[in-house]
Amino acid sequence: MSTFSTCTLNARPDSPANGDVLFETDTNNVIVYDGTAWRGYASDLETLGANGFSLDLDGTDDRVEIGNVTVLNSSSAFSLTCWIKSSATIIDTFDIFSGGDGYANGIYLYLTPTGLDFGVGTSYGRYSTALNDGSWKHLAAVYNGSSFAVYINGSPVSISTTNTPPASTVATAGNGSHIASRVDDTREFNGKMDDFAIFNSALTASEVSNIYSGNLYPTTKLSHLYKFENNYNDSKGSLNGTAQGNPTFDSSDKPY
Amino acid sequence: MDRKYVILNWDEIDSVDFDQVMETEASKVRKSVDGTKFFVKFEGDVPSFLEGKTIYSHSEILTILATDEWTDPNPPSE
Repeated sequence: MSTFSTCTLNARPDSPANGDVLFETDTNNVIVYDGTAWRGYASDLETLGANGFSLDLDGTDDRVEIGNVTVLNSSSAFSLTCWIKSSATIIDTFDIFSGGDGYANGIYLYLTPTGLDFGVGTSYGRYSTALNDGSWKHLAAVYNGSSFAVYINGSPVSISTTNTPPASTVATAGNGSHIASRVDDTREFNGKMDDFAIFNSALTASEVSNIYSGNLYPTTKLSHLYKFENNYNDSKGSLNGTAQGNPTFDSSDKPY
Repeated sequence: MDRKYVILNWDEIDSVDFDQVMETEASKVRKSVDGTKFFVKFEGDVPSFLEGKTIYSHSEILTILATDEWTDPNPPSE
């Protein structure tokens, strides 16, 4: 195995030789000097998260509406990741994401009093350890057309699956999508949230780990990213969110 | 600043001054399951159009919203 010498974007060698190859540790790109200029070969991974603010949701009617997430329609694989924090009592559910009709013809990810459910239609995977302990947690929910996987803080966790997962979502599964509430404007999330991401395919374990530990996103799989940096903008796609209720941004309590 | 919450009957929706509450428009307020009630929230002084109404704290409104009157216990399609 070869090991490249390293540099950073702003500290490339001043007098390179033709054919020099380096790895840029801050961009994760490989660069090659062609005799006149450096040529970069981009990594699929990009550091995208930001941590100036988190989103603070009051659990009554605060939510972010993001419209029709087309990559979730008729999809045979997708993933959702985010940071969450809640110490509130969960009487029913705290919805993290809901699309379509939010159940039989939709997609859902929510906290329950005893853990988390992640589902497509009437099939769902259930993680059965309560997550509302007041600490920041990174969640990844992965669907691959035949099974569900859930990761907590970058590691896979055991889930039980009810009903056989469908081969794909329905054609309207991404319609009217909400972050932090069910699509019918109930079951709002009570707590904080950050870096909500939607991927167009199933993340691997290493990709989830990279997002959790290094904030490194596989850009070819990433479709939408809401950093909640004092706004509801989609920093990857074009589905900027609209806040309802009046969530606030917290600059003092953030996941990393 | 603490948020305060007021439950109103749906037939009062036209009386809401959305400049004085945190909700933005009638179509975006959260309604009770049967659609006969909704709530609004505010910070600071009580908006004039809400004077005389029962005002709830955050913990009080969360308890109310968790009841079947405000949260349908069934999944959306059932």
